[in-house]
Amino acid sequence: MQKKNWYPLDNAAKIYPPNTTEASPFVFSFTARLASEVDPEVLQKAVNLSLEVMPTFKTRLKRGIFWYYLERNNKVATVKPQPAHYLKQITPESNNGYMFEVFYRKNTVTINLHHSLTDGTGGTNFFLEILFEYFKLMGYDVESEGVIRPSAAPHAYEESEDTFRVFDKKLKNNSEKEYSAYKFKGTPFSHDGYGIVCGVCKVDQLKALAKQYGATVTEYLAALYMYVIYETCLQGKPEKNKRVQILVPINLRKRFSSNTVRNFSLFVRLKHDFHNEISFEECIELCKKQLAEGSTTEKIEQLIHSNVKLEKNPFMKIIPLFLKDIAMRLVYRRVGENLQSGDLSNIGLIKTPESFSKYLKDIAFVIGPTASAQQNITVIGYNGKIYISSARGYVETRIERELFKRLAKNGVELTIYSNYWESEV
Amino acid sequence: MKYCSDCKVKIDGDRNHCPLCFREVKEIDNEKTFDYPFAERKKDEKYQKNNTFVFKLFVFMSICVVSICLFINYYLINEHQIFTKWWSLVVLSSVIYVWVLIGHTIISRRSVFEKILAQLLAIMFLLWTCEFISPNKTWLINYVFPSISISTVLSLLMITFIRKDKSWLLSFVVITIILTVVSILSFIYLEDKHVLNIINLAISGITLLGYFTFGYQAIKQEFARKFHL
Repeated sequence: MQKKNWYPLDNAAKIYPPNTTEASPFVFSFTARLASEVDPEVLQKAVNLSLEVMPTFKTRLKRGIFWYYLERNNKVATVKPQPAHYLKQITPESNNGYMFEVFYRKNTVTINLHHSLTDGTGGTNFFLEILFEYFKLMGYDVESEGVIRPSAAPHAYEESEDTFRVFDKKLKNNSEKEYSAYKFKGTPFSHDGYGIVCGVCKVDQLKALAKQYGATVTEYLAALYMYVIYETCLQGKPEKNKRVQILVPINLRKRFSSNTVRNFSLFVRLKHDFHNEISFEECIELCKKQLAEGSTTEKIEQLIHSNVKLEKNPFMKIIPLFLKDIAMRLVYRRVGENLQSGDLSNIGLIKTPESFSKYLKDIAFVIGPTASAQQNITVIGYNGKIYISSARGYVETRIERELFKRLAKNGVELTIYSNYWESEV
Repeated sequence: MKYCSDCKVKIDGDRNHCPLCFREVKEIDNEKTFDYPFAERKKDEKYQKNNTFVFKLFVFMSICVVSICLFINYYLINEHQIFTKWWSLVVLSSVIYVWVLIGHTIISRRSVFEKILAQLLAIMFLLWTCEFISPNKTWLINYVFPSISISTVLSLLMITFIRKDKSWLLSFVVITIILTVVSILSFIYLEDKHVLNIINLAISGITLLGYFTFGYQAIKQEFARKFHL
């Protein structure tokens, strides 16, 4: 049987290609700080090997007559020195058609991925695979320890499957009335790029703080993000008919026992109008309630079905791609851009082999802002530390300032890093 | 390592101000900063707007050339009866062709299929306008179309043999089918069947047969990929 050398885009990825622009690149990145300076030649070999182990990433995005698809790419995914502005739109010219880019700089390795290819968890797996191959090629004493996919393991179909279609059940989605989202306002940068600030703290401290409110880290940070917007941006003057709406992605792999490396997450939208005064404790309870309600298996299955139903609609199927592009842009504007203030994405504590700790010192995760969500907060945990990053598309730092200040005030020891994008060179 | 007494956070980096509140920060220890994870912005990475001047100049010149020619042509026909032909249509079609060539064929990221098809249509339109003003009304269908069709079909066939990657095969087959259908129609409706029309029909027919005989599996796979529902 001939090896399949193309994949249709998964259900969640379909919305991204027609809506990708310079202002909305739909990219996210992982950065790893290693113990020693990166050898670009070895890194190049590691990327080549990783692509053979995880062929879902060895693809380029192509246009079909009815849908986009990912086709096997036999060109080299070149590793490059990291530019200052790296969260850029990935075009077919960026990296020989690949939908990701790998950068190096001193002792850091960065991967920039387009959302049409994978989500945060899939991206983490691929990034760790690259690091594993790199460490091995460097002659370091590392083992996969059941965490990293062994190179010899054959490629399983389920890694590349569109899991949304697999778990689609016919359930009716009770749609609620939607309100437009509050949008961040600020002074645009005079140059291309985003302001990134990263705060590093100990896992235990942040967990203990969240526990004081009976919340998880995600619930606590989501509530803090919303409350900081309320206090600093709205300043007691909420906009009529607009709500603060934060999207929190939910990884569905554990719940549905899936090993896919493609997109398999859905968003829970946390929303509040802030028309009446509210305390932080009330905000936490609100977020906990909305997250719990939005992430029940029934609710998720309803959401999966409403998305897959659209894709399976015979009328939708036979519409040529150029017309679908127009339709998807309109749909995204209506139900994507319009209903989102920002993202809070928590990858959680990433599992790495024990042997990595000697060579991998830090890891950071950043989601590039889009035209609709001008500020995103991302969280990742590694080796007893939590890395909270904020990427914004405007000069003012009021959100992250208040967010980190509040954490520090509550006893969390933070070290801050910034790319100082607001400063003139 | 530095410390911001206002935000109560440690700051790692070589700047003397806090990235959150922009106030001055105090040095608290000599712990080495580890340069993580950001690259320094360089002066030449300043924001640059897309340069649309060339595009605008090209639009301006195209409109000027076409409208001046149309006006002169109209004026001379009506007022002086000097030129009885609409020669300015050739200017118009030439400008359209240059737009297609530069904007679509060279610059755009369109597929090979779309580029070849657009080129064929643009060339045919340009030549049709030339025939429109010429006294001989049969050279396009008797000589030009068969010649273009033969050269296109043979060029695509050569590329198919040279390229290992067969991802363009379906596009080439579809273009050959289109040219074959047009050749059949012209052959049926033409009163004087010129020898070039017969050669064209034979070449495109045989090529098509070859594609399906030797490249059936590749065409089938490419069809499934491009037309998947």
